[in-house]
Amino acid sequence: MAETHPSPPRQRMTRRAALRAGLRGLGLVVAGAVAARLLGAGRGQPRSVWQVDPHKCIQCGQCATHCVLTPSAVKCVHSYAMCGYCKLCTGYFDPQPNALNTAAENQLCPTGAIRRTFIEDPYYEYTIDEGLCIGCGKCVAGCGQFGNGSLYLQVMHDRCVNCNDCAIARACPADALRRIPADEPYLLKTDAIDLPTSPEDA
Amino acid sequence: MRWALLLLTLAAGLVGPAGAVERFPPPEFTETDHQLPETQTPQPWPGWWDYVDIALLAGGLAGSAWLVLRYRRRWAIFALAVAAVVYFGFVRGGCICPIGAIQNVAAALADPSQWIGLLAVVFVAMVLLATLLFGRVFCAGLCPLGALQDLLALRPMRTPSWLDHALGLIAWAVLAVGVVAAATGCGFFICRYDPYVGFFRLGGPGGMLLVGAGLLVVGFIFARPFCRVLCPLGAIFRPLAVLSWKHATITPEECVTCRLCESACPVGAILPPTHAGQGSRSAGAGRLAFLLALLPALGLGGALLGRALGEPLADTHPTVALRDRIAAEQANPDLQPSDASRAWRAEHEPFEQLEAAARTKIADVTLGMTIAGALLGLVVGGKLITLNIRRVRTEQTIDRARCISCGRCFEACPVEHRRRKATPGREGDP
Repeated sequence: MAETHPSPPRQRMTRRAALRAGLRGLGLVVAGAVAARLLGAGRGQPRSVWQVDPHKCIQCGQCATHCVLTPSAVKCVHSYAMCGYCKLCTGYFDPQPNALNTAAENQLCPTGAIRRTFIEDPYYEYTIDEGLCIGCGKCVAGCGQFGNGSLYLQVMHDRCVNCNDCAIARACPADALRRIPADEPYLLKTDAIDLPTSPEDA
Repeated sequence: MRWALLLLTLAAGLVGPAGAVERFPPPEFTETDHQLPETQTPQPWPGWWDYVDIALLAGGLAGSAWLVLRYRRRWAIFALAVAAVVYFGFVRGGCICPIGAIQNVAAALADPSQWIGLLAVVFVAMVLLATLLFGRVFCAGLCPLGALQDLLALRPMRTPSWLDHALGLIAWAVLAVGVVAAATGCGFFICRYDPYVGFFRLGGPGGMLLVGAGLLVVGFIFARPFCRVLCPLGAIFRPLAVLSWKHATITPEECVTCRLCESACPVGAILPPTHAGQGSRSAGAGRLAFLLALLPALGLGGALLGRALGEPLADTHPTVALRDRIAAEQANPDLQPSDASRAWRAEHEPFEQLEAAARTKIADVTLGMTIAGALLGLVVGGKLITLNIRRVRTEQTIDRARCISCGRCFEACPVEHRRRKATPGREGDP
């Protein structure tokens, strides 16, 4: 290809241009075939989000430390309908509390994110201050071990940035994080109370 | 009364089997009519937002192509890049981007049972199509990572061509490892080590932010370091852009070979005219024959290197890591069981099963890395060959593989300025 053509108008396609066009066509066909294969048979699904399966969660505490966000997008949530409204809540109180009151040394939560409100004798309501919760799961472990298991961890979708490669999912020892459809983005516990799978229970 | 109940259920919980137990009945409020609060469930971006993202990317790609090929103004391409950083970067948090999406595609192709989002497939397909048609217009105006670096390319220095070509090969290696890791389930390494996504989320692991900031500083003088050295999507784009149907030109009119565009190009993608009688034809042919003969050796070398790297990569797979941990705990009883090994023991799965799964995984990764290594070797060979094929250029020519269509050369070209003045009414037309 040492010589240069003087380029007459309506020049015939050069060999190199034809080769390019052929390869370009091949590229389009291959890309189209792959896309069709992936989208076919209902495999291309709408948006999905990460969520913690509360029945798999072992409360290892990594949700609090591995999220790319600080504080973590994982928070404790409360299914109030499952709660026993206990006076001695094992999700709220330290295993050996000095007294059953709201003093900091009696609380299990490291950030004091659970609010304890008297409703009527002998019932107390426990609500989560989401702004304080760091998703460590200490209360979840306490509630699941001796209580009804109404406290559990969930990914909060107003915070989660939905990483393609969720750092918590990668670190989770129990494989409890999975992608679920964005239209139903929570795995809420309802009435079935499952004890967490841990060596003490086994 | 409640204390006794607590102790009773406590004991029952300790001896009883795991399962559905209601330890404390839900309260019946008699004195007050207390209403149970709702569990808070803030909603994510809805599923149909996918179609908005797809429409925005499609529109953006078409717009970028029009700006690069027709409108030909640097400021407009720059404005589009700023918009892309704002939306695809800060608003959408930098995820999902077509660079990371190649891993989703690789994973879904390798394992048909694997979930894949519509967005990942369509994003990858759209940017590949756009590159085949118009060159790297995605890099120019839409890639949030590219745009972030482009905004900070303050004093780009001209790097020697050989260095550019050599560093560019690293991107192919990133692509090879990233695709094999995603396809075998080791993880999405390209996302994990994305240096810039931390800025879009306004936070992240310290190491990630530090590397990102370092690269941005390097980018002051070495423009777009990630794009040129590391970007795996950029590696795929290079051959596609060479084949592209239309491509940006420095000026549609006749070049006066003033070489001003060469100094304006931040990525060294403008090739100077060749001089007559550079080297002899027979010497060139001999070198080409030697390189062609070298090709199988490079492929074989790459395959062996890939094979050797297979096992270290497989160690990052969760199954293999768990197998290693359990084996270590069995060998050394003093070792505290990790959370993962505790969860595994609770499943009562025989160790042989885990061992077999880990072996299969190591074999898969090693096979994948062998193939990827061989292909990488061929890419290196192909690079050497293309560098040694002589092309006669009578004017400044864009190297389509490296050009990111940023449009800086339009503004540097004196012919282009004259053209704009000559046709004020139709200045957008080439």
